Amino acid sequence: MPGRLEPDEMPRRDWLGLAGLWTAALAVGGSLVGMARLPKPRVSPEASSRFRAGSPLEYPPGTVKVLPDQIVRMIATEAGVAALSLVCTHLGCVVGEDADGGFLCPCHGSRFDAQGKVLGGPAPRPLRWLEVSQAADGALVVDAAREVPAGDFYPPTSGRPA
Amino acid sequence: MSEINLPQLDRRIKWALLLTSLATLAVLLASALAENVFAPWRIIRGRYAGILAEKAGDARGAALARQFENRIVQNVLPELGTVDRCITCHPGVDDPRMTDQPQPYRAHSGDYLIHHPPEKFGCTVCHRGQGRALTFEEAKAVGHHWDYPLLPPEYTQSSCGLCHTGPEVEHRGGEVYALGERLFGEKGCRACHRLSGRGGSLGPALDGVGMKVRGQLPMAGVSGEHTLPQWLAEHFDSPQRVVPGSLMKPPQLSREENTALTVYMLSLQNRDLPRSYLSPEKHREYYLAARPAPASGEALFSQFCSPCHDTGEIGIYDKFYAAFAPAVRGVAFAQIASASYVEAVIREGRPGTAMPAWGAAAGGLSDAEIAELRRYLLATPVPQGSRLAEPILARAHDPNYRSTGDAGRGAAIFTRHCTGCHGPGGAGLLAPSLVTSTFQRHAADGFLYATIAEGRANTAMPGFLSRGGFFERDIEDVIAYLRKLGGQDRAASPVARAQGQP
Repeated sequence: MPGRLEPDEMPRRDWLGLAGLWTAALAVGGSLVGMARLPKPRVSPEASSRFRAGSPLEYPPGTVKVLPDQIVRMIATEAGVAALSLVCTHLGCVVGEDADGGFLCPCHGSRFDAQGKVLGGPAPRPLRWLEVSQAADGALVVDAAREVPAGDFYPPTSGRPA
Repeated sequence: MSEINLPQLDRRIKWALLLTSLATLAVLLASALAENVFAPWRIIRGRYAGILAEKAGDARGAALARQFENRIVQNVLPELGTVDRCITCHPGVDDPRMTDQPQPYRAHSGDYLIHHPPEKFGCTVCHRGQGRALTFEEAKAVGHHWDYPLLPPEYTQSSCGLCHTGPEVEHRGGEVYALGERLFGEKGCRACHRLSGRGGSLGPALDGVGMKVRGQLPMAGVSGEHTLPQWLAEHFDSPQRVVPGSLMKPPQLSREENTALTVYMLSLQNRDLPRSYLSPEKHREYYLAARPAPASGEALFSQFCSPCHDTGEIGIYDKFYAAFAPAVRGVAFAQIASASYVEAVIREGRPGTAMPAWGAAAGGLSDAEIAELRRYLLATPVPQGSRLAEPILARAHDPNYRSTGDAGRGAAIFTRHCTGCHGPGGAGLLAPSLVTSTFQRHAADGFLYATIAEGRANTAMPGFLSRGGFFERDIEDVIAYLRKLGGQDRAASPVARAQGQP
């Protein structure tokens, strides 16, 4: 029996043991979380999905311009500017324009209308509309990694931001 | 607490476990914070987000502030082989509102970025340094592990020359580069240095000199930072201090000229840039370097010859080389030198002297250019008073004239009268060597006779026949001695003697 002359040491010893084990478990767990992050770098040297499409002054309403390097068709209307990807949603061929203003994929014959909606063929989804924004110096910027709903036009403002 | 089914651990082991685990946790926590909260680029971008919000005066500004993300941004350019993350911490380079901000937030100076969007060019193609770095210290790429450290701002224009020519950028932000390119021509650097296959061989060729790394350069004499730009700048100030025993004359440049020429040197990179990056003018320059447009003799002379021969009209005593550079446009030389002799000397140089060979295989001058140069040299106008006597001229240009003198007597005369300048055995001292193979092969006896007899006006070479007290016989003996020095012992060769007297 514990008494004043023989104090019980057990509780203190247990506290030490438990604390040691728990912190060790936490340390191992934390290290594992850290290691699990290693395979996914914060940034990898891949080409940016954003590109400049030039000044808004190059896109008066009614302009339709294809940027062959980026495989994008820039469409300007009164409502603003939009970027329509010309990469077929089936297997990634570059679609061509057909006679009635739509698009035709040369690989497997997918057909799209002028808005990119699928009219026929194996394509599972309509052509992608890409997000358009403006850089600080006023240039239009298209982000090929970000999609916007079809028919979404970005209204550019001219000049530098205030 | 109740009894726990743990083994009886020693108290010290438990303490050790607790303390090491706590230490591990602390390290983990510290690295997580350093990586995710206190990374320098995060703090910088966080501040920039504040600046953007402050400046968001209209819808566009608000949209820019809203779109801004605190993450690493980069320009990956496989064509240039660069990955530039500089814009992570310099997010305002293309924002014209940021001209009043301190670095690293300030907008890029000038209109360079309008013509060179960072998405296409990146940063390091012009500024050098380490594009992947995320701290300024690492981006500078200083130290012996890095080949191409960040260029000091005064030398950044060297990168204009990768894709542009000097005249093209002169009034469009490339003044320093344009000046450097012009100086390279005006100072006659090509007289000693070859570039794109044209130029002398006294100094090293300069192709690709802008890509040299510090390990390729003798740095012991460089007092500043051990980098290529610093080496070049100090070398232009004093070639002999940086490269002991260098043959290069100090080019006497002002501070601006020194910077400009350093910039031009740094631009000589021989880099395999995609052709689409080069301006049409640069393409033309490359084309012309391979097929030089016909240049006038005067232009060729000023570019390749004038650093040593000056105008060529008088014999120049060069204190640096302690030798005379012959008056190749002197009135006497123009009268007595034959076209074939002049062309041969230009083409082959004078081995063993400072005069390099300029033929297509060596200095890069075509036969047509050498002929043009020869015409320019021999077209020197001869004033009435300097015309040599008709018999001398006739002998100088007589291809059949051969000296029949006595080489032994000639040796004695030569030692007495000629070695003072031409050196013992004619090996060259202050005056040019007379035993080089080019000279011996191409200088006709008549040419030697006229030179010794009449001297060379406006040079240190006196005429020995008219004023020096020589007889014609003495001159013939000296010529025979010179031929003997050149390996033709006429006296021992009755055939040659017979040929010499047709």
